[in-house]
Amino acid sequence: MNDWYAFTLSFKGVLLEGLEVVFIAITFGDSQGDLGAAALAAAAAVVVVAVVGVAVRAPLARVPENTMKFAVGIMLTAFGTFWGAEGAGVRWPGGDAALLVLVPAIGLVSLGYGLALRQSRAAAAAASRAAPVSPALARAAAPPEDAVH
Amino acid sequence: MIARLRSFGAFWYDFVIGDDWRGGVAVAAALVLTAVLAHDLGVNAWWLMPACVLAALGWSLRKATKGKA
Repeated sequence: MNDWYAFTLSFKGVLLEGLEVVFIAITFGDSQGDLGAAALAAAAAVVVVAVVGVAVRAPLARVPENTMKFAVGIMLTAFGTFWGAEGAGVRWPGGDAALLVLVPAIGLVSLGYGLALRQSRAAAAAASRAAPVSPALARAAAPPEDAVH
Repeated sequence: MIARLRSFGAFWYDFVIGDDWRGGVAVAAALVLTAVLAHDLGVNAWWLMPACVLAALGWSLRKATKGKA
């Protein structure tokens, strides 16, 4: 072990997500009255994810970090919105298929926010370049008069 | 001991609330309003949560990037 920082970060991430999976598997298994099947499915998922993770680690490492964060953020926001509203007593039009609309909709709006932000920054930068220089700033930037001769 | 308790509390605050408590309050208010509409008034307000979440996201993004050209 030569990188404890990476180990700690990975351990915390896997522990957190793993606990989520445990809670989800127990909740679903208990509500269906078959905890054994839920535990077996969760264990199978661990094996599949580990194998896929090892197999695609090289292309995964090439995905830009911010792109991955953006995609994960969209999924979390969409699923959180879906389940939050459902838990509050709403029936989604089309049932679970509403996610097929909700995920792209949140993705498109988020992309729109990103574009708007980029444009407003570009406009602000252009405005600051085009702004007239104040006389005080011009005097400060000019060389002293005795240095001209 | 106090420092450990404080860092434990800070972890949960960061985990549940995040960078801005107002975003959490907006989502909680949207959930309560959705529940009131669905249970008490019989309105299937599926549209309320996405609208509130997207509005809160835009507002939070604008606030976080304000003055950072």
